[in-house]
Amino acid sequence: MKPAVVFDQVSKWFGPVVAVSDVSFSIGPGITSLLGPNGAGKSTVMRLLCGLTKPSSGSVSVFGRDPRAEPEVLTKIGLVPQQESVIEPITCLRFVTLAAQLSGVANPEAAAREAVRTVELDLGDKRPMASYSKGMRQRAKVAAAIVHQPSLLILDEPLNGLDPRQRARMIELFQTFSTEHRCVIVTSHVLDEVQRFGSRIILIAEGRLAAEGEYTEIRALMDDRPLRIKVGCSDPRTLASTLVRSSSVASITVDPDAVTAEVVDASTFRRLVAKACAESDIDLREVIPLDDDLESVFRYLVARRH
Amino acid sequence: MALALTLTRLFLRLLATKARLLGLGALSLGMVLLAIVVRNDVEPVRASWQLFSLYALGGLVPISSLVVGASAFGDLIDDRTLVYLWLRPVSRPVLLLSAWLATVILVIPFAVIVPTVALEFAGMSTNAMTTSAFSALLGTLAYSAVFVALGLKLPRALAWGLAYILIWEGAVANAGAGLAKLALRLSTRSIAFRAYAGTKIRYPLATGPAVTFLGAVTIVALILGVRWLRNAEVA
Repeated sequence: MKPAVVFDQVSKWFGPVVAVSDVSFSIGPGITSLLGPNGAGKSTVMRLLCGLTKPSSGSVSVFGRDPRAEPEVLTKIGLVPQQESVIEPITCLRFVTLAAQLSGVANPEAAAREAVRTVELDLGDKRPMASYSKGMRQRAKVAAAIVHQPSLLILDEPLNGLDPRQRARMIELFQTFSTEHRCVIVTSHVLDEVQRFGSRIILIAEGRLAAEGEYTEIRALMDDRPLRIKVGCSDPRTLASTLVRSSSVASITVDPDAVTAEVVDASTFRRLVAKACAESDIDLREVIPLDDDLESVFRYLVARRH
Repeated sequence: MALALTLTRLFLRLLATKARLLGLGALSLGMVLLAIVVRNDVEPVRASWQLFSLYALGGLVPISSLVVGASAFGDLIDDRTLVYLWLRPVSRPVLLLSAWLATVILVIPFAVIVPTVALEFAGMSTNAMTTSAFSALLGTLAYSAVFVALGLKLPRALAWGLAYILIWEGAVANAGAGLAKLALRLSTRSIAFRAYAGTKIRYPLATGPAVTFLGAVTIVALILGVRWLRNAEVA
């Protein structure tokens, strides 16, 4: 099957700032997550995908067409932009009906009612959207994005502002959408959120493609890198003497109430700590990864790739 | 057609804010009050011409068109909601024309109808009122097209537009010669002044060229607007 989206050596710069640098990937049906820290270039990739901005070099193709030069392809695209803003003076139902009308839906009112119902907003709400909470706006944007049943649904940080129940509902909705041979592309900077989508991952960092693959592959890449882990316990010296013999530990420092180790295999190290503490009767208080934030993970993956 | 109507209604809804309507209403009411004063002038025709030329053609028409027109797309760009219209398979000319049409519909009551009614208060003839309304209408069409397009191209289009109206049209074109005379106001005044028998100020353009110039500016601005909309970097 031909991929729905093809990015071919795409770069985008704004004056001296390079937002996206020589990125190539292709996306087929199902859910794909664009993962990366804030400012990594995810939103620029999204904008390029929809034709909202023109690539400085390279080409973007959606269903075989250039979304910027051929607006007809926009009938197949639904976008939930990251910004909170909506067309404030009108009601949600009007907003979604307008989206349906502009997309050429045959019965826009009926389609809008169905979409509003799907995101669990009140069809009878006569308030303008100016008075809506962040979560309600987010759901209104989702309704407007799905009202014309697009083949490609693009969601920029779609779970922002939603309560846990709504998050679960939205994830379920996107998964259902993706099972109908459609493409769903989601951006996120939270790895665990992406895990819930059960998706393929494209990892963007510093405007470059850092890695791509299934969730488990990306998670393994992250776990395989050197990590600093602090282990708080009742007898750091004894614990350190056991840990230092393991090949999973590169170096170790001992403090009065903790051991800090640089490890090359995090999962083996964690098992070893538990075993050593149990065998030596040491009280284990905490195990804290010191550089497990996404930013450092992404930096590592980018450096590893180049 | 139905799509254009839907979009025009949307733009009208977005542009007709209470503050904007009150501001333009107050500005146009000033013209009515001054017309009542002018009625008792010893030279009512000359005074009426000055009022219409300065207040309506020099102020109400360009400023109303600017305040509404620059916001048509400018506000959508500022609050990042243009994406909801741009990312639909809507013909760009239809989108732009809808914004322009909504601007014109909103501006006409303040820049054309109220000044014409004010001339009635000033005791002017039907001929003077008709010609004046015609010039104000053509001016509204042209200024609106220019400012709708500028709203797409320039951040802070309101400030740039105001600078154009005050500095170029108000000072440079008034005092200059040659190309410096190229100003929409010159054309609108050239059309209107002939209806005011007895006014001593003469304008260089005949009605035909003045109408042609305003029409050409309108069309060029709309074409540029469509082009800028197509090439817009949408946030």
